[in-house]
Amino acid sequence: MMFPQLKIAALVSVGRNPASGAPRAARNDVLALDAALALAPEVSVLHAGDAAPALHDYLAYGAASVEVLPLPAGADALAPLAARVAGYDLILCGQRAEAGQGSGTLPYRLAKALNMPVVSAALEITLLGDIVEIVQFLPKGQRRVVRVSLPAVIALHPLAPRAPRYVYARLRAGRLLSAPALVAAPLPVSPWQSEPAVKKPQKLKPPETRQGHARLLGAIATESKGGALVREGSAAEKARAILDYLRTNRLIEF
Amino acid sequence: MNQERKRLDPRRPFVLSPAGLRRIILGATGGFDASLLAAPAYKPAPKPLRLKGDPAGYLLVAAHSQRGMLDAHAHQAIAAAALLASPQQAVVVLVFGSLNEDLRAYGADLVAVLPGADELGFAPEQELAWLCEFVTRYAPAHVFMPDNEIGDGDLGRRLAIHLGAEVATHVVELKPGAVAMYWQGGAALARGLMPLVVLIAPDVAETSLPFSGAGETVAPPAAQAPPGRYQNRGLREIAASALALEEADFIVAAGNGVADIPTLEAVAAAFGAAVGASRVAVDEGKFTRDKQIGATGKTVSASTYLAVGISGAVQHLQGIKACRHVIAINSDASAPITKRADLSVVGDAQEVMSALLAELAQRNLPDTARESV
Amino acid sequence: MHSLDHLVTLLFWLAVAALAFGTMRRARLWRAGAAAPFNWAQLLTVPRRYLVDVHHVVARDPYIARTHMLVAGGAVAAVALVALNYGLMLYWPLLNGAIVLAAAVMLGGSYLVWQRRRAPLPRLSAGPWNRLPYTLAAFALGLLALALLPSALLSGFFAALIMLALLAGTAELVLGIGTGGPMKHAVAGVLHLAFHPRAERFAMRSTALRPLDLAAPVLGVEKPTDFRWNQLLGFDACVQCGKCEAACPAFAAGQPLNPKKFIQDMVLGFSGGSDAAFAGSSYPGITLGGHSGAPEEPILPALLAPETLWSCTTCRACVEECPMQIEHVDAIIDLRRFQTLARGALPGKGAEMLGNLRETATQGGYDNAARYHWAVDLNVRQIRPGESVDVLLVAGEGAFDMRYQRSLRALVKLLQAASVDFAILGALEVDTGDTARRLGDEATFQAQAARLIATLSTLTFGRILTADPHVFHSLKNEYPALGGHFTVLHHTVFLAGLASSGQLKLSATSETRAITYHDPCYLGRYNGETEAPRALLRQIGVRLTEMERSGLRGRCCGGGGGAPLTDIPGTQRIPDIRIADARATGAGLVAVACPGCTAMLEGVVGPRPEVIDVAELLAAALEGQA
Repeated sequence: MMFPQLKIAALVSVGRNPASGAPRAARNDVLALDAALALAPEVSVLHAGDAAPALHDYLAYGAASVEVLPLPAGADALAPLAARVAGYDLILCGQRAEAGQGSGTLPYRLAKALNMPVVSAALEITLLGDIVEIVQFLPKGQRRVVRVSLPAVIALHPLAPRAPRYVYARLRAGRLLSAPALVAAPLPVSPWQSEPAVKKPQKLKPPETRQGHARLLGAIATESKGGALVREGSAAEKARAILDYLRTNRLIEF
Repeated sequence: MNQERKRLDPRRPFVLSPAGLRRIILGATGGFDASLLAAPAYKPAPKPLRLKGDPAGYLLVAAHSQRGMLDAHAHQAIAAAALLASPQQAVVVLVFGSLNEDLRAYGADLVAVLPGADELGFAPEQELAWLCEFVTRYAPAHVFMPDNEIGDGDLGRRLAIHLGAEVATHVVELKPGAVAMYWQGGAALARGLMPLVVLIAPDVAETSLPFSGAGETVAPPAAQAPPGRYQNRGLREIAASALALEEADFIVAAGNGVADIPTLEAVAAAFGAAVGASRVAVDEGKFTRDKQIGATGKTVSASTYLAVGISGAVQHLQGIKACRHVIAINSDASAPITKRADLSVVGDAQEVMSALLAELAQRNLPDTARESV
Repeated sequence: MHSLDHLVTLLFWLAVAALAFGTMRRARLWRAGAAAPFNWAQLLTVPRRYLVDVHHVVARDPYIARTHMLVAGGAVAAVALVALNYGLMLYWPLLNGAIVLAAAVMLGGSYLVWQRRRAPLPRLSAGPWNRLPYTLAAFALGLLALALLPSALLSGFFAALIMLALLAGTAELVLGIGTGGPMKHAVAGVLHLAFHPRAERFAMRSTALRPLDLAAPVLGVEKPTDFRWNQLLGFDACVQCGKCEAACPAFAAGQPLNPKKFIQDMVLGFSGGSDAAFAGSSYPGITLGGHSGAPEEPILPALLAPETLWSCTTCRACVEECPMQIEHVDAIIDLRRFQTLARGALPGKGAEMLGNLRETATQGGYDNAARYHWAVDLNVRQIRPGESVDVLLVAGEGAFDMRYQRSLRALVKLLQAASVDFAILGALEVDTGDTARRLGDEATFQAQAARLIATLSTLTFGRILTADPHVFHSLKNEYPALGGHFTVLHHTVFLAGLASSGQLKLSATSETRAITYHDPCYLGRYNGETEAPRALLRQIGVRLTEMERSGLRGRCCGGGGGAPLTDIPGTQRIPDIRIADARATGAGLVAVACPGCTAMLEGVVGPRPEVIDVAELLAAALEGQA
């Protein structure tokens, strides 16, 4: 069902292809846009940052236009976004950004700034008057149904069952709009130092107290992994070999 | 002369010590007795308490339980707190949901349990009120939570935003006083001082610890949040067999070596696994097309992939590239799948599947049977 | 007697009027199509195009070639003589004698048509086509009687009978074009040959797709009238002989595609109506009568099911077989362009692949920097701007495939053995966009092409060498229209040159299995190159056992046109059919020359001949090899 009277915003960011690092429409935000378009014909598609070429992808995915709220590099997108979407009924976004920090906290911070409820991991969104019903993702095939009153912030889960279509004709027809920033974004002093991820992160371990022989055994044990071939024995023994493997690797809990 | 020398029997009875060392059983003779392997004669010595004296400070760990158990990810959060705590800092664990396990092994010193608030419920305001009460009560230096999808990632973010505190999410490396996490989708590693709220990614801490926690039970928080804005309308469960293959963590897949589909589906049901199929099996009409795994079908990333009667054409192997553990049941030991598989069982698929079912029926204890539904 | 002659004159001019009226009526339907260049002088090309190009295809079936020569030749001659003798009211007995000759030839031809249709092949259409031998024979018999019988007999009952026969035959001949009957093909066929939408094909092998103007109001074809008018005319030329149907790999595999039905559906589209009356085989799995079209209605899904559109492998087997020179694949791509660019409606993994291309410049979503990892230990030069090299090796998407890397390594070994001055494109290479183009995504294709052309223009090299026929076709035939002009060689052609000049020294192969060679469509049919790989195999002492369909008429492996991505189900798979072809020759080894074919044929499970690239066979037969 379409709800043309509702003011719906989809927040979009510039994503990043995991293999090439090329900028693209962030997959989760595309899902949010697609979900928004299923609820209302007119959706404000907002991006805080530069008018990056990758934003054109959102046009292809159905945005009539993308409104770009200018933001100095490294500045916090919260303030300009919160000022822009004040008064909206429903604000949709992806659960986690692909580029940047990707901490997944923006929906929560936005909800706090606007004093709205926030529901994350949304798979399906249904409007029931001024109430919105959300089917939430839980692992292992579980789903939870949650209702909140509008206005609300909803973050889309990557497995949301939507099939957004990339349509070149829409990319050709749409455009990026530059909007003046309503609020100057503060430039925070980041407490983080980032470096290229080259080394694998180290696992937190208790200090090594084992003696040489035990450590050697441990080292050998980790070396011999996989590729085992069970040819001999009865079917029951083979079945047990499979179960043993599953248990050893804690793949089953019984 | 040689006959006079007393030789040690290399297969004399022995047991394995907890450290993995082989210890002979003095005085015993005869062959190797396998039953001794299963039951180590050595009882593990009680581990020393980590906490020395009365606590002078606290680290808080909060996590949701599932069916009375915390998962490995939550255990890692507790162990991480215990490994990072100073000898005077106590690790307080707040469990949302019932708890039927002992958390001392993971270093929990004080444990509070909120039965009836497990991962199936959704009351973020009430849970936040409880968590805030504990933060006020213990004034922890840090709050550790697993950054998962059963409620802790959500609650942790709500806590940090509510307190206006710094938060580190998806933390992949922990060091005393410092954390690191991936930025730019994994291309950059950001390091910084450990903030108040630390949401950890899986596998950041070792859970087998050389010490133990005190494990005292403390009173759970009692705060009552005002009626909230969130209304939980209950759960929907998707049968494992109907679960999208991309989402499934355990897949039992059939190839053209499988004639008996009901048995395969029974095996999948027993493991709580989703059912997939190779292209050939789909082409033969045994499965619908959405079950096809491979280059032209679905690309799956299950932790466990049990390939039954699948020879492993290149296209199929492309579809299971991301699977962690591949187990193959195949009649042909030279099939390409055996090169990919971590464990290959050579034999008749039907027999092995039936044997698996029999084994599983035997071992499924009543309280774990639910796992397999 | 005079009255009957005048009656025939009247009938002749009435027929001319009916033909003119019918043609104009039909032309109105064609002209609803989009604009295309037009020049009356093109009509002068028809005799040559008919006698050379059409005959070349028809002559593959000598029976039907003879039949058509007799029946059409006889009819044309007879009608021309009737025009002269009766149309111009000459009524010369001598000309009547000539008419007898022509009509007799036509009658003989009609008999052959009748023979053919007594036990028709399944590919032939029935319905109105089945009455053709009778109406044509009636026309010929009428003329014979008119010219032969003494005037005394030509009155009363006989005269009426003759006029009836002539009327029936004439109606068949002249009303077809106006009403869509079988003889429509005569008029539409002639005009189609004159105004052919791909006129280049009469001068040389022309297989490149036309670039699409990405600023055009309609991207590709949505409604029948979005086709260019001469494409619509081309659909009308179809004689429903079904040779395309018999050649189509998708049809054989039970996928819902039949090129003959497809063309007839396009005719239905611009002329309007339902497919219930179609008298041939339907799309496998789709019953007749469920689809209908109109000139201004979207073709999909009312007239054509999406599965039909996405079953095509673009192998051009239908085009190669079509005696009327109809361009099925161009029409398929036009329709795909609209579906992809204006609807984003690709099935299967098509959309995912296009996203990968845009974001990673690879089809599989790989890190493009890893494209030449297969060559790190081969001591191969990577080209750099400012350094010149004779041969530049472009690997294509196969470079990410561990199987195909074996072929590439064999090729490098051969080049090194022949001391060729060559370099690889390395991480500078991006995908040619060929598969995107076949899937209708002209925007992504042109973006990829612009990237690759820009890269290549900064480099100094003599020739481009590739082992991938799709890369070969794209660079050689389709890039020129976008401003990329390169000398491009397929590895089999280049190696054949090296071997014949003695630069590449080969000894006899140690291979003892019987060998057959599978022609990749994009090398054989698309580029006419069927000899070089065979010459190379002969060079190393291989005696090829040819498959039933080989060379220009080879059967597709099923890997073209993005078909493995859209993956439309059928009753069997195309590569399985191709491997069955190979098995039928008794071959233990199928030589191939394309990474796509290798992957498709190797994807066939169960015992099958081994699939090995020509380059690998040659590398194993290098002289001085242990």
